[in-house]
Amino acid sequence: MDTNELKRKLEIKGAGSSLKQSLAIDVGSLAHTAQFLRDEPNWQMDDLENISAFEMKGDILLTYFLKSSSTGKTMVLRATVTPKTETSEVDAVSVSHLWAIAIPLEQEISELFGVRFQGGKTRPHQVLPEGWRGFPLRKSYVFPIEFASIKHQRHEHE
Amino acid sequence: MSGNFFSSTLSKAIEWARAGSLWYVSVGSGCCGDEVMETVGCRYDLERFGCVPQVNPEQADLLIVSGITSYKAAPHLRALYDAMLSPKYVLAVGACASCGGAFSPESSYSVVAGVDKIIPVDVYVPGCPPRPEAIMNGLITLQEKIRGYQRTQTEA
Repeated sequence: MDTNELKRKLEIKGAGSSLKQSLAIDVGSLAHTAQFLRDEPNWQMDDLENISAFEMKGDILLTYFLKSSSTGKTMVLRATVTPKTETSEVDAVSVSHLWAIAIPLEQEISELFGVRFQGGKTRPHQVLPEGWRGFPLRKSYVFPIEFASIKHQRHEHE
Repeated sequence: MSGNFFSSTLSKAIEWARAGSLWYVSVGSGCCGDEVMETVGCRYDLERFGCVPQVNPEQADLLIVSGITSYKAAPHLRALYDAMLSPKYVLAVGACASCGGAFSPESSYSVVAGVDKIIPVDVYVPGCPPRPEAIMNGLITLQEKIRGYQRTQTEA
């Protein structure tokens, strides 16, 4: 059963026409795929709605939500990056040259998850305060004992 | 005049005047800020107690902190407190300002566990969020503290 046949069957089962296209792609081909989807006349994905990230079993899943303002079509791209260690940074490809709205989204993911977007415009510490160490939304992240001489615990004995 | 000088009667008059004209700056970083605005509004009218809002910290005696304070905001809050002229007082409104509330320290990496980690707090107002009556009660408690009164403790 191919994807289109599955989609037709699900629509008959009651999912309706709300089903969206979703592509799981390799992170290396992300920029090329995104550019193709933006420039292809049949798709014209000229709008990036959001980039989300979450960590699952050591992998960081990046999800790109695309939309075409002319055709109304939507699409989801998903790419996975795997850090070498629990605390190390990992590389991905930036799409900020295709959609400018990607700049703040990549900035946030960069600081909170430790994903370096190659070719992007991320700068150190826009979301987190200066001097912050580690990536807070990683599963392995341990809360600081203190930051900027402020103890994180309420009481000394905790 | 050399040596120490102390005038108890004059001090009491100054403290009385000081407690009755607490000009404040408010830092509202959470939903408790809405309750503070409600307290200032026409229904509860905080100005009855001599509390007048200020925008310049140099002209304020009281700093009302309502809501969470993140590590990123902490130095700015400290700078605001340092800009105030002595004598100065701090009212921590709500659970987040008092101890971090629901966000800290166990559940958030970025929330300071109470503003007393950054600046000295005179009166804590508990609640999530506290009602305007509780905020007014905190303010009256602060006024009594300035005047040197001791409140009668009610047996539980």
